[in-house]
Amino acid sequence: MDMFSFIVAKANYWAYVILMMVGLYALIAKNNLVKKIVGMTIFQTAIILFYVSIGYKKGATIPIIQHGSGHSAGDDGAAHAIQETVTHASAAVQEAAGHASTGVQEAVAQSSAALQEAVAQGSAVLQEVAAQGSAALQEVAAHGSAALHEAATHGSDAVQAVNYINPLPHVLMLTAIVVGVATLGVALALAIKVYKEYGTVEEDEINQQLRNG
Amino acid sequence: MTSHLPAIVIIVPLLASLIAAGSGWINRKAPFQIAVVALFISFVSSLLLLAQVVGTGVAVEYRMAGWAPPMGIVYVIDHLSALVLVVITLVALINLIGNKKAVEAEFKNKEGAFSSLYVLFTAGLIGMTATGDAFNLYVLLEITSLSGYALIGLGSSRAPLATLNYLFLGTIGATFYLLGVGYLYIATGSLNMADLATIIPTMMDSPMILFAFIICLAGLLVKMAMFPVHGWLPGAYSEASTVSAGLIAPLTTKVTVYILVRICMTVFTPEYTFGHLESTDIMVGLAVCSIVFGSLSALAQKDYRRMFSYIIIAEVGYMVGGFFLGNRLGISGAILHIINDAAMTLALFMAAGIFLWKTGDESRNSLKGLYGKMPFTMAGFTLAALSVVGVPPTCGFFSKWYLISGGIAAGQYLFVGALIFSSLVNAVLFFRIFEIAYFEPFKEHHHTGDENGREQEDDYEGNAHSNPIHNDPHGSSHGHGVLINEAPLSMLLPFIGVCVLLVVLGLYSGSIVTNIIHFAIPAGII
Repeated sequence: MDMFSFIVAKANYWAYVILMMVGLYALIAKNNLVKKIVGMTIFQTAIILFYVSIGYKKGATIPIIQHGSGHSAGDDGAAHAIQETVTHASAAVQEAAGHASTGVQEAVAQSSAALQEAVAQGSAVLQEVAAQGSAALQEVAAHGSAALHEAATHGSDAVQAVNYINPLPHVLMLTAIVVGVATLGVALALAIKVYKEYGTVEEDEINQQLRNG
Repeated sequence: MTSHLPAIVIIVPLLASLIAAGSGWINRKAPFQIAVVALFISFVSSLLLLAQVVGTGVAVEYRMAGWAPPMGIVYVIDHLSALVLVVITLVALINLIGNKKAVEAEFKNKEGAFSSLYVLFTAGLIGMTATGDAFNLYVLLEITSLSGYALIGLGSSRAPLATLNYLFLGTIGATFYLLGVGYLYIATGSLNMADLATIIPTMMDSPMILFAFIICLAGLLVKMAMFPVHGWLPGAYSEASTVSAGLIAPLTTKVTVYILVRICMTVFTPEYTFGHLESTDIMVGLAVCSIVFGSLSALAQKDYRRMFSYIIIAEVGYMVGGFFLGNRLGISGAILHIINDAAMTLALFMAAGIFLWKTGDESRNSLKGLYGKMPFTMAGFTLAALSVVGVPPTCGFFSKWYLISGGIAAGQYLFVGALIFSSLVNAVLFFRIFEIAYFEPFKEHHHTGDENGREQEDDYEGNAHSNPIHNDPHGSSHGHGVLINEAPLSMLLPFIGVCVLLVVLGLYSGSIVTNIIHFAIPAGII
């Protein structure tokens, strides 16, 4: 059972090894040149599968940033979000400061009047002022931190590597696929030339002809 | 301008290959000229790079499109790669110039395709040498291989089958290398060679690194035709057209050995390759097998081009064995032999091209009486042969000297024995050719049996036959008083140039080792 789960957990690697061996077997043991070429292609494809699976991550997505198009646009998006939150936050701070200053002014006027009028009432008024001011400041702080938090999550989305698969092996494989296609093309062209020369693509028959002639 | 030299050295031939392919439709002579100019520019750039690197003593690092490593691809020209670059561009240039007539005859109406492939092949080799990125190396390896398959496939009627076998094995080799790079990437997360070299020493015990090393090495050994996986080489090289063989035979195996040195020394670091893995015994043993097998097989060949091809397999054994000795003498010998063997193989295959041009026959017996008929060519060939055997003051002697002293220093007496055995076998091989060519009378028979020989050649001989009274020394005089009937000057002069180069390389091998190769080997190796 352990063996089974071991195989299932790394199924992609097993698949690549099996494909590689199938290809290698065809490449070495087959008598027909076209079958050998097919084996060669399977062999190369196995390596491509290997590379693709080393770049893959479960639950991750392709490394393209949404709400933008491409690398620089992604950066723009993040910068934009940060700017937006900064303006948000500064507006909130201004508003709160306004609140607070009016509160303090009012309180000063009130308290001076109250002090002049009655000492007993003054402490109550001051308390009220303090409560008003601190509420305003709290509101500011809450506003600002929410905006900053939003900005932070927005901005860090662009660089959080955990959420994305590694694009490099896939890009490398684009090149390897091109190389594989080119090799296949040259091999088929050569096979046609061999067929024109000997009238067959079976290696033993060709060797027979070479020995006789 | 000079700061862009590492890019120029590869981009010029790459673009020239594109232009040459199209220019054939406009002017039939243009592709050849474009190819020569591009290779010349490349050669001059690599000479300047070598001068710069030797002058400053610092490696030149070129960032492609300005991207910094390890993210971007860098081209790194150090002492070793600058030296190999000069060798590649020089060999490609001389071989192309020297085979101008053969190209015109063999690739009639295919000049564009041929020149394009020729330059593309060279560009691939240059890139392989200069790149500092493990995956970029794979791409360039495949560019080289694919253009090489096409060049070989354009050869004789048997060439497509031989090429297809080469293609199958070559693809296995390259794909193994790719797989190795994949594991290296999983383990380290990097593809930049310098970056890899800093990461690998921290994780020497990782089985993933070991697997990556083995599988990369296996891929490269297939590509360089080391003993158990050499099967593709003799067929491919002996069926190729002479000009393609003259390019591919000297360079492919040698540059792959360079890649082996680069991977084992720069990427995996000598501490890992020699210290941690103790790879010396296994690899030197394999090299000994390669040397003995290559030499003995060469002895069994009747065709001289097949014989030279088996000698290449033995020479690959020299270089791989020398490198894996793991001491300064052995590695110096291996690197020196990369240069010397490229020059020697070029000389041999150019000589083979001239023989084929004149006689149209590949068998050893067709060389009868050639000393009388083509004294200059044969003088050059003698020099090349003596260099392969290892007679001073030709360059073959000096690299063998380093290899043998390295073998003694490392206590690998089997390797020393194999080197001496191979030299003796080479002596037998070449003295047998000397005997045939010097003592046996020249016979005018080569052509009649070769109906599908080259047109130019028939023209040439046709002229000879049209004046039998003045110009018919062959049938009657049997070696004595044979009129000189040399190869055309455009073939002869570059060939003689290469043969003189063999002696020059030999005489200057001391300064090459102390001024260049010495700096190419990490200081930790004694």
